[in-house]
Amino acid sequence: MDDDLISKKELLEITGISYGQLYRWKRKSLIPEDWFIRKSSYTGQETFFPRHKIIARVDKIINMKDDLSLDELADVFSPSAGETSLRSIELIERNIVSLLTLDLYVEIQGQQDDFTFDHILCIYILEKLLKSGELSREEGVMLVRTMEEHYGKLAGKNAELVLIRKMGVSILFLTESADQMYFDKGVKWVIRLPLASSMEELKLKMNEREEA
Amino acid sequence: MEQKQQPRHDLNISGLGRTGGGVYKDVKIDGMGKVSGDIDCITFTSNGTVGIEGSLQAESMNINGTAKVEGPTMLDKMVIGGMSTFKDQVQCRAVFINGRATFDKSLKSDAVKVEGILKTKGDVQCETFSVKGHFTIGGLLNADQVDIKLNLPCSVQEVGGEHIVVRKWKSPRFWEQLQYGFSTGLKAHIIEGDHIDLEYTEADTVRGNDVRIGPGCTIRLVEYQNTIYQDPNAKVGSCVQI
Repeated sequence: MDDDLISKKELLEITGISYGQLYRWKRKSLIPEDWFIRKSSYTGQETFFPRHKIIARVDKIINMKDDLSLDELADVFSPSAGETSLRSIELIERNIVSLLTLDLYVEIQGQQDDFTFDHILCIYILEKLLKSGELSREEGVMLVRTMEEHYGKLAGKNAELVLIRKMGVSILFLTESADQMYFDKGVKWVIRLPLASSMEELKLKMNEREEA
Repeated sequence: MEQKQQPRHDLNISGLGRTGGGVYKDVKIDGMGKVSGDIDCITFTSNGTVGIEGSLQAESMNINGTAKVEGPTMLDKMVIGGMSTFKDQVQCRAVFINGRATFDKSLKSDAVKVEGILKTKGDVQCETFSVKGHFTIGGLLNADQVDIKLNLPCSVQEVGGEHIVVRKWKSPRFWEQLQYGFSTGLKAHIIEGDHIDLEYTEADTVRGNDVRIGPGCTIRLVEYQNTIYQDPNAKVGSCVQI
Protein backbone atom coordinates (compact mmCIF):
# COMPACT_ATOMS: atom_id res chain seq x y z
CA MET A 1 0.00 0.00 0.00
CA ASP A 2 1.42 3.36 -0.88
CA ASP A 3 1.46 5.94 1.84
CA ASP A 4 0.27 8.77 -0.34
CA LEU A 5 -3.17 9.26 1.10
CA ILE A 6 -5.56 12.16 1.02
CA SER A 7 -8.15 12.87 3.67
CA LYS A 8 -11.78 13.26 2.74
CA LYS A 9 -11.77 16.88 3.82
CA GLU A 10 -8.78 17.69 1.66
CA LEU A 11 -10.30 15.88 -1.30
CA LEU A 12 -13.49 17.93 -1.12
CA GLU A 13 -11.42 21.09 -0.89
CA ILE A 14 -9.22 20.30 -3.88
CA THR A 15 -11.92 19.00 -6.18
CA GLY A 16 -14.75 21.26 -5.03
CA ILE A 17 -17.29 18.45 -4.75
CA SER A 18 -19.75 18.16 -1.90
CA TYR A 19 -20.35 15.43 0.64
CA GLY A 20 -23.63 14.68 -1.09
CA GLN A 21 -21.88 14.05 -4.40
CA LEU A 22 -19.16 11.95 -2.87
CA TYR A 23 -21.63 9.72 -1.05
CA ARG A 24 -23.86 9.49 -4.12
CA TRP A 25 -20.94 8.34 -6.22
CA LYS A 26 -20.02 5.82 -3.62
CA ARG A 27 -23.58 4.51 -3.66
CA LYS A 28 -23.49 4.17 -7.43
CA SER A 29 -20.13 2.38 -7.04
CA LEU A 30 -18.31 5.00 -9.10
CA ILE A 31 -15.75 4.97 -6.33
CA PRO A 32 -14.74 1.49 -5.20
CA GLU A 33 -15.37 0.49 -1.63
CA ASP A 34 -11.75 -0.40 -0.94
CA TRP A 35 -10.56 3.12 -1.68
CA PHE A 36 -12.23 4.26 1.52
CA ILE A 37 -9.51 3.77 4.08
CA ARG A 38 -10.36 4.38 7.68
CA LYS A 39 -7.65 5.64 9.94
CA SER A 40 -7.62 7.29 13.27
CA SER A 41 -6.24 10.78 13.36
CA TYR A 42 -6.02 13.43 16.04
CA THR A 43 -9.55 14.58 15.19
CA GLY A 44 -10.98 11.14 15.68
CA GLN A 45 -11.51 8.62 12.95
CA GLU A 46 -11.19 9.93 9.42
CA THR A 47 -11.55 8.49 5.98
CA PHE A 48 -8.63 8.60 3.59
CA PHE A 49 -8.25 7.80 -0.09
CA PRO A 50 -5.33 6.82 -2.28
CA ARG A 51 -4.43 10.31 -3.52
CA HIS A 52 -3.65 9.80 -7.19
CA LYS A 53 -6.37 7.30 -7.91
CA ILE A 54 -9.14 9.26 -6.28
CA ILE A 55 -8.26 12.62 -7.78
CA ALA A 56 -8.00 11.12 -11.24
CA ARG A 57 -11.30 9.34 -10.75
CA VAL A 58 -13.13 12.41 -9.46
CA ASP A 59 -11.82 14.49 -12.36
CA LYS A 60 -13.01 11.88 -14.80
CA ILE A 61 -16.44 11.75 -13.23
CA ILE A 62 -16.78 15.54 -13.24
CA ASN A 63 -15.76 15.72 -16.88
CA MET A 64 -18.03 12.96 -18.04
CA LYS A 65 -21.08 13.41 -15.89
CA ASP A 66 -22.65 15.91 -18.30
CA ASP A 67 -22.57 13.42 -21.14
CA LEU A 68 -23.32 10.19 -19.36
CA SER A 69 -25.78 9.35 -16.63
CA LEU A 70 -24.43 8.09 -13.32
CA ASP A 71 -25.53 4.57 -14.12
CA GLU A 72 -23.72 4.63 -17.44
CA LEU A 73 -20.68 5.97 -15.66
CA ALA A 74 -20.90 3.16 -13.14
CA ASP A 75 -20.76 0.77 -16.08
CA VAL A 76 -17.60 2.38 -17.35
CA PHE A 77 -15.84 2.02 -14.03
CA SER A 78 -17.13 -1.37 -13.08
CA PRO A 79 -14.52 -4.13 -13.31
CA SER A 80 -16.99 -6.54 -14.87
CA ALA A 81 -17.20 -6.84 -18.59
CA GLY A 82 -19.84 -5.24 -20.72
CA GLU A 83 -22.18 -7.45 -22.62
CA THR A 84 -21.55 -6.11 -26.04
CA SER A 85 -20.08 -8.12 -28.82
CA LEU A 86 -18.91 -6.70 -32.10
CA ARG A 87 -18.05 -8.02 -35.51
CA SER A 88 -14.55 -7.62 -36.88
CA ILE A 89 -15.64 -5.02 -39.44
CA GLU A 90 -17.18 -2.93 -36.72
CA LEU A 91 -14.01 -3.10 -34.68
CA ILE A 92 -12.05 -1.61 -37.54
CA GLU A 93 -14.69 0.84 -38.72
CA ARG A 94 -15.26 2.21 -35.30
CA ASN A 95 -11.57 2.63 -34.87
CA ILE A 96 -11.39 0.57 -31.71
CA VAL A 97 -8.41 -1.47 -32.86
CA SER A 98 -6.24 -1.38 -35.94
CA LEU A 99 -6.33 -3.96 -38.70
CA LEU A 100 -2.76 -4.95 -37.98
CA THR A 101 -3.49 -5.95 -34.42
CA LEU A 102 -6.68 -7.70 -35.38
CA ASP A 103 -4.80 -9.71 -38.00
CA LEU A 104 -2.27 -10.79 -35.43
CA TYR A 105 -5.04 -11.80 -33.07
CA VAL A 106 -6.81 -13.78 -35.77
CA GLU A 107 -3.52 -15.43 -36.66
CA ILE A 108 -3.19 -16.65 -33.08
CA GLN A 109 -6.79 -17.45 -32.27
CA GLY A 110 -8.25 -18.25 -35.65
CA GLN A 111 -11.01 -16.46 -37.53
CA GLN A 112 -14.01 -15.39 -35.52
CA ASP A 113 -17.22 -13.65 -36.54
CA ASP A 114 -18.19 -12.12 -33.25
CA PHE A 115 -15.86 -10.73 -30.67
CA THR A 116 -17.12 -10.62 -27.11
CA PHE A 117 -16.08 -7.84 -24.79
CA ASP A 118 -13.36 -10.00 -23.26
CA HIS A 119 -11.89 -10.67 -26.67
CA ILE A 120 -12.03 -7.03 -27.63
CA LEU A 121 -10.35 -6.13 -24.37
CA CYS A 122 -7.58 -8.59 -25.13
CA ILE A 123 -7.09 -7.12 -28.62
CA TYR A 124 -7.22 -3.62 -27.25
CA ILE A 125 -4.55 -4.30 -24.66
CA LEU A 126 -2.45 -6.07 -27.26
CA GLU A 127 -2.66 -3.06 -29.54
CA LYS A 128 -1.91 -0.63 -26.76
CA LEU A 129 1.20 -2.48 -25.64
CA LEU A 130 2.45 -3.19 -29.14
CA LYS A 131 2.05 0.44 -30.09
CA SER A 132 3.88 1.67 -27.03
CA GLY A 133 6.74 -0.62 -27.99
CA GLU A 134 6.83 -2.35 -24.63
CA LEU A 135 5.73 -5.64 -26.08
CA SER A 136 7.38 -7.67 -28.79
CA ARG A 137 5.36 -9.70 -31.27
CA GLU A 138 6.21 -12.99 -29.58
CA GLU A 139 5.21 -11.58 -26.26
CA GLY A 140 1.98 -10.46 -27.88
CA VAL A 141 1.26 -14.06 -28.74
CA MET A 142 1.96 -14.94 -25.13
CA LEU A 143 -0.38 -12.21 -23.99
CA VAL A 144 -3.26 -13.40 -26.13
CA ARG A 145 -2.82 -17.02 -25.04
CA THR A 146 -2.61 -16.07 -21.36
CA MET A 147 -5.60 -13.79 -21.55
CA GLU A 148 -7.70 -16.37 -23.37
CA GLU A 149 -6.85 -19.11 -20.98
CA HIS A 150 -6.90 -17.35 -17.65
CA TYR A 151 -8.79 -14.10 -17.92
CA GLY A 152 -12.11 -15.77 -17.16
CA LYS A 153 -10.92 -16.67 -13.68
CA LEU A 154 -10.16 -13.07 -12.88
CA ALA A 155 -13.21 -11.52 -14.51
CA GLY A 156 -14.88 -8.99 -12.28
CA LYS A 157 -11.79 -8.58 -10.16
CA ASN A 158 -9.22 -5.85 -10.32
CA ALA A 159 -6.62 -7.91 -12.10
CA GLU A 160 -3.27 -6.68 -13.30
CA LEU A 161 -1.14 -7.75 -16.20
CA VAL A 162 2.54 -8.02 -15.45
CA LEU A 163 5.48 -8.63 -17.73
CA ILE A 164 8.94 -9.18 -16.31
CA ARG A 165 12.17 -9.88 -18.10
CA LYS A 166 15.41 -11.43 -16.98
CA MET A 167 18.37 -11.97 -19.26
CA GLY A 168 16.17 -11.55 -22.31
CA VAL A 169 13.63 -14.11 -21.17
CA SER A 170 10.22 -12.68 -20.61
CA ILE A 171 7.52 -13.95 -18.31
CA LEU A 172 4.03 -12.70 -18.53
CA PHE A 173 1.30 -13.24 -15.99
CA LEU A 174 -2.04 -12.10 -14.72
CA THR A 175 -2.51 -11.53 -11.03
CA GLU A 176 -5.09 -10.09 -8.75
CA SER A 177 -2.69 -7.69 -7.12
CA ALA A 178 0.91 -7.05 -8.00
CA ASP A 179 1.45 -4.89 -4.95
CA GLN A 180 3.30 -7.49 -2.95
CA MET A 181 5.73 -9.05 -5.31
CA TYR A 182 9.49 -9.07 -5.04
CA PHE A 183 12.03 -10.48 -7.44
CA ASP A 184 15.75 -10.87 -7.47
CA LYS A 185 17.95 -8.11 -8.82
CA GLY A 186 18.25 -9.25 -12.42
CA VAL A 187 14.53 -9.04 -12.98
CA LYS A 188 13.17 -5.99 -14.70
CA TRP A 189 9.53 -4.95 -14.50
CA VAL A 190 8.57 -4.18 -18.05
CA ILE A 191 4.84 -3.79 -17.85
CA ARG A 192 2.46 -3.43 -15.02
CA LEU A 193 -0.98 -2.71 -16.33
CA PRO A 194 -4.18 -2.73 -14.28
CA LEU A 195 -6.79 -4.29 -16.53
CA ALA A 196 -9.51 -2.12 -15.03
CA SER A 197 -8.01 1.04 -16.47
CA SER A 198 -7.80 -0.45 -19.95
CA MET A 199 -11.33 -1.60 -19.55
CA GLU A 200 -12.43 1.94 -18.71
CA GLU A 201 -10.69 3.32 -21.77
CA LEU A 202 -12.16 0.67 -23.99
CA LYS A 203 -15.67 1.13 -22.67
CA LEU A 204 -15.43 4.87 -23.20
CA LYS A 205 -14.16 4.33 -26.69
CA MET A 206 -17.00 1.97 -27.48
CA ASN A 207 -19.55 4.35 -25.93
CA GLU A 208 -18.30 7.35 -27.86
CA ARG A 209 -18.79 5.62 -31.13
CA GLU A 210 -22.24 4.46 -30.29
CA GLU A 211 -23.33 8.00 -29.63
CA ALA A 212 -21.64 9.55 -32.62
CA MET B 1 -34.60 -15.13 -21.19
CA GLU B 2 -34.74 -18.84 -20.54
CA GLN B 3 -36.81 -18.36 -17.45
CA LYS B 4 -39.54 -16.61 -19.40
CA GLN B 5 -39.98 -19.59 -21.66
CA GLN B 6 -40.67 -22.11 -18.96
CA PRO B 7 -44.08 -21.67 -17.35
CA ARG B 8 -44.16 -20.51 -13.77
CA HIS B 9 -46.54 -22.22 -11.39
CA ASP B 10 -47.92 -21.19 -8.06
CA LEU B 11 -46.74 -22.68 -4.81
CA ASN B 12 -49.04 -22.81 -1.82
CA ILE B 13 -48.12 -24.16 1.56
CA SER B 14 -50.89 -24.30 4.13
CA GLY B 15 -49.94 -25.98 7.34
CA LEU B 16 -46.57 -27.61 7.40
CA GLY B 17 -44.55 -27.91 4.29
CA ARG B 18 -41.16 -28.15 2.80
CA THR B 19 -39.89 -27.36 -0.65
CA GLY B 20 -36.58 -27.52 -2.36
CA GLY B 21 -36.95 -24.17 -4.04
CA GLY B 22 -37.19 -23.45 -7.71
CA VAL B 23 -38.93 -21.10 -10.10
CA TYR B 24 -42.51 -20.13 -9.30
CA LYS B 25 -45.08 -17.47 -10.00
CA ASP B 26 -46.80 -16.75 -6.72
CA VAL B 27 -45.57 -18.33 -3.53
CA LYS B 28 -47.85 -18.23 -0.54
CA ILE B 29 -47.08 -19.73 2.81
CA ASP B 30 -49.73 -19.94 5.53
CA GLY B 31 -48.36 -21.89 8.41
CA MET B 32 -44.86 -23.19 8.56
CA GLY B 33 -42.76 -23.50 5.48
CA LYS B 34 -39.22 -24.30 4.76
CA VAL B 35 -37.41 -23.71 1.51
CA SER B 36 -34.18 -25.64 1.41
CA GLY B 37 -32.77 -24.12 -1.77
CA ASP B 38 -32.82 -21.04 -3.94
CA ILE B 39 -36.20 -19.67 -4.85
CA ASP B 40 -37.14 -17.39 -7.72
CA CYS B 41 -40.70 -16.11 -7.86
CA ILE B 42 -42.88 -13.15 -8.78
CA THR B 43 -44.56 -12.64 -5.44
CA PHE B 44 -43.62 -14.13 -2.12
CA THR B 45 -46.17 -13.91 0.67
CA SER B 46 -45.86 -15.46 4.06
CA ASN B 47 -48.38 -15.34 6.85
CA GLY B 48 -46.72 -17.78 9.14
CA THR B 49 -43.19 -18.87 9.71
CA VAL B 50 -40.87 -19.35 6.82
CA GLY B 51 -37.22 -20.19 6.52
CA ILE B 52 -35.31 -19.94 3.28
CA GLU B 53 -31.97 -21.67 3.28
CA GLY B 54 -30.90 -20.44 -0.12
CA SER B 55 -31.28 -17.18 -1.95
CA LEU B 56 -34.48 -15.35 -2.68
CA GLN B 57 -35.34 -13.50 -5.83
CA ALA B 58 -38.76 -11.96 -6.23
CA GLU B 59 -40.58 -8.94 -7.49
CA SER B 60 -42.41 -8.40 -4.27
CA MET B 61 -42.14 -9.90 -0.83
CA ASN B 62 -44.73 -9.59 1.86
CA ILE B 63 -44.03 -10.96 5.31
CA ASN B 64 -46.68 -10.95 7.97
CA GLY B 65 -45.26 -13.55 10.28
CA THR B 66 -41.64 -14.38 10.78
CA ALA B 67 -39.15 -15.04 8.06
CA LYS B 68 -35.53 -15.92 7.83
CA VAL B 69 -33.49 -15.82 4.64
CA GLU B 70 -30.00 -17.27 4.66
CA GLY B 71 -28.88 -16.43 1.17
CA PRO B 72 -28.64 -13.17 -0.75
CA THR B 73 -31.94 -11.50 -1.51
CA MET B 74 -32.92 -9.54 -4.62
CA LEU B 75 -36.30 -7.88 -4.60
CA ASP B 76 -38.25 -5.07 -6.15
CA LYS B 77 -40.46 -4.35 -3.23
CA MET B 78 -40.38 -5.58 0.31
CA VAL B 79 -43.08 -5.10 2.91
CA ILE B 80 -42.36 -6.49 6.32
CA GLY B 81 -45.16 -6.57 8.81
CA GLY B 82 -43.74 -9.19 11.11
CA MET B 83 -40.23 -10.19 11.97
CA SER B 84 -37.61 -10.89 9.39
CA THR B 85 -33.97 -11.77 9.45
CA PHE B 86 -31.71 -11.61 6.43
CA LYS B 87 -28.38 -13.32 6.86
CA ASP B 88 -26.86 -12.13 3.61
CA GLN B 89 -26.93 -9.03 1.45
CA VAL B 90 -30.23 -7.57 0.41
CA GLN B 91 -30.83 -5.57 -2.72
CA CYS B 92 -34.19 -3.97 -3.24
CA ARG B 93 -35.99 -0.99 -4.81
CA ALA B 94 -38.40 -0.16 -2.04
CA VAL B 95 -38.25 -1.40 1.52
CA PHE B 96 -41.08 -0.80 3.91
CA ILE B 97 -40.71 -2.04 7.44
CA ASN B 98 -43.69 -2.02 9.74
CA GLY B 99 -42.47 -4.73 12.01
CA ARG B 100 -38.94 -5.64 12.76
CA ALA B 101 -36.24 -6.42 10.26
CA THR B 102 -32.70 -7.50 10.93
CA PHE B 103 -30.05 -7.44 8.25
CA ASP B 104 -26.85 -9.24 9.15
CA LYS B 105 -25.00 -7.78 6.18
CA SER B 106 -25.78 -4.75 4.09
CA LEU B 107 -29.00 -3.36 2.68
CA LYS B 108 -29.14 -1.61 -0.67
CA SER B 109 -32.30 -0.01 -1.90
CA ASP B 110 -33.71 3.07 -3.58
CA ALA B 111 -36.10 3.88 -0.79
CA VAL B 112 -36.16 2.67 2.78
CA LYS B 113 -39.09 3.51 5.00
CA VAL B 114 -39.17 2.31 8.57
CA GLU B 115 -42.09 2.60 10.90
CA GLY B 116 -41.00 -0.27 13.05
CA ILE B 117 -37.55 -1.47 13.92
CA LEU B 118 -34.58 -1.75 11.62
CA LYS B 119 -31.34 -3.38 12.61
CA THR B 120 -28.36 -3.85 10.34
CA LYS B 121 -24.86 -4.98 11.10
CA GLY B 122 -23.46 -3.65 7.83
CA ASP B 123 -24.07 -0.60 5.69
CA VAL B 124 -27.33 0.83 4.45
CA GLN B 125 -27.27 2.49 1.03
CA CYS B 126 -30.33 4.16 -0.39
CA GLU B 127 -31.61 7.33 -2.00
CA THR B 128 -34.20 8.16 0.62
CA PHE B 129 -34.12 6.92 4.17
CA SER B 130 -37.02 7.84 6.37
CA VAL B 131 -37.59 6.50 9.83
CA LYS B 132 -40.32 6.93 12.37
CA GLY B 133 -39.30 4.50 15.00
CA HIS B 134 -36.17 2.73 15.95
CA PHE B 135 -33.05 1.70 14.10
CA THR B 136 -29.55 0.48 14.74
CA ILE B 137 -27.02 0.54 11.95
CA GLY B 138 -23.63 -0.97 12.60
CA GLY B 139 -21.99 0.52 9.52
CA LEU B 140 -22.45 3.52 7.28
CA LEU B 141 -25.81 4.98 6.45
CA ASN B 142 -25.32 6.40 2.97
CA ALA B 143 -28.40 8.13 1.62
CA ASP B 144 -29.26 11.18 -0.40
CA GLN B 145 -32.11 12.23 1.85
CA VAL B 146 -32.05 11.17 5.46
CA ASP B 147 -35.16 11.95 7.42
CA ILE B 148 -35.20 10.60 10.95
CA LYS B 149 -38.05 11.08 13.37
CA LEU B 150 -36.82 9.81 16.68
CA ASN B 151 -39.05 7.79 18.86
CA LEU B 152 -36.66 5.54 20.71
CA PRO B 153 -32.89 5.60 21.09
CA CYS B 154 -31.26 5.00 17.74
CA SER B 155 -27.67 4.49 16.79
CA VAL B 156 -25.58 4.50 13.67
CA GLN B 157 -21.86 4.37 13.13
CA GLU B 158 -21.63 6.91 10.33
CA VAL B 159 -24.07 8.97 8.29
CA GLY B 160 -23.28 10.47 4.91
CA GLY B 161 -25.55 12.20 2.46
CA GLU B 162 -26.91 15.41 1.11
CA HIS B 163 -29.84 16.36 3.34
CA ILE B 164 -29.79 14.99 6.83
CA VAL B 165 -32.61 15.88 9.18
CA VAL B 166 -33.03 14.44 12.66
CA ARG B 167 -36.11 15.36 14.70
CA LYS B 168 -37.81 14.15 17.80
CA TRP B 169 -41.13 12.65 16.89
CA LYS B 170 -42.91 11.89 20.14
CA SER B 171 -42.05 10.61 23.54
CA PRO B 172 -41.98 6.88 23.88
CA ARG B 173 -44.60 5.16 25.92
CA PHE B 174 -43.92 4.49 29.54
CA TRP B 175 -43.05 0.82 29.26
CA GLU B 176 -40.80 1.50 26.32
CA GLN B 177 -38.94 4.04 28.39
CA LEU B 178 -38.32 1.37 30.97
CA GLN B 179 -37.01 -0.94 28.32
CA TYR B 180 -34.67 1.46 26.59
CA GLY B 181 -33.84 4.01 29.24
CA PHE B 182 -34.94 7.59 29.22
CA SER B 183 -32.67 9.07 26.61
CA THR B 184 -34.44 9.19 23.28
CA GLY B 185 -31.86 10.34 20.83
CA LEU B 186 -29.58 9.45 18.01
CA LYS B 187 -26.07 8.28 18.67
CA ALA B 188 -23.60 8.55 15.84
CA HIS B 189 -19.89 8.67 15.39
CA ILE B 190 -19.60 10.86 12.31
CA ILE B 191 -22.30 12.76 10.43
CA GLU B 192 -21.33 14.27 7.10
CA GLY B 193 -23.61 16.00 4.63
CA ASP B 194 -24.33 19.19 2.73
CA HIS B 195 -27.32 20.26 4.79
CA ILE B 196 -27.47 18.96 8.31
CA ASP B 197 -30.24 19.69 10.75
CA LEU B 198 -30.00 17.86 14.04
CA GLU B 199 -31.93 17.54 17.27
CA TYR B 200 -31.29 15.25 20.21
CA THR B 201 -28.19 13.84 18.65
CA GLU B 202 -25.05 12.69 20.33
CA ALA B 203 -22.17 12.65 17.90
CA ASP B 204 -18.42 12.84 17.84
CA THR B 205 -17.96 14.82 14.64
CA VAL B 206 -20.41 16.67 12.42
CA ARG B 207 -19.18 18.03 9.09
CA GLY B 208 -21.27 19.93 6.59
CA ASN B 209 -21.88 23.04 4.55
CA ASP B 210 -24.96 24.34 6.34
CA VAL B 211 -25.30 22.99 9.83
CA ARG B 212 -28.03 23.50 12.37
CA ILE B 213 -27.53 22.08 15.82
CA GLY B 214 -30.85 21.96 17.62
CA PRO B 215 -31.81 21.33 21.23
CA GLY B 216 -30.60 18.26 23.06
CA CYS B 217 -27.48 17.77 20.98
CA THR B 218 -24.11 16.84 22.38
CA ILE B 219 -21.40 17.10 19.78
CA ARG B 220 -17.68 17.13 20.26
CA LEU B 221 -16.63 18.81 17.05
CA VAL B 222 -18.58 20.67 14.38
CA GLU B 223 -16.89 21.61 11.12
CA TYR B 224 -18.95 23.77 8.78
CA GLN B 225 -18.39 25.64 5.57
CA ASN B 226 -21.15 28.23 5.11
CA THR B 227 -23.61 28.64 7.92
CA ILE B 228 -24.06 27.42 11.46
CA TYR B 229 -26.87 27.75 13.93
CA GLN B 230 -26.52 26.51 17.44
CA ASP B 231 -29.39 26.21 19.86
CA PRO B 232 -28.65 27.51 23.37
CA ASN B 233 -29.66 24.10 24.69
CA ALA B 234 -27.08 22.27 22.63
CA LYS B 235 -23.66 21.29 23.86
CA VAL B 236 -20.93 21.68 21.29
CA GLY B 237 -17.31 21.08 22.23
CA SER B 238 -15.75 23.09 19.44
CA CYS B 239 -17.01 24.64 16.26
CA VAL B 240 -14.70 25.41 13.35
CA GLN B 241 -15.32 27.01 9.99
CA ILE B 242 -13.32 25.48 7.14
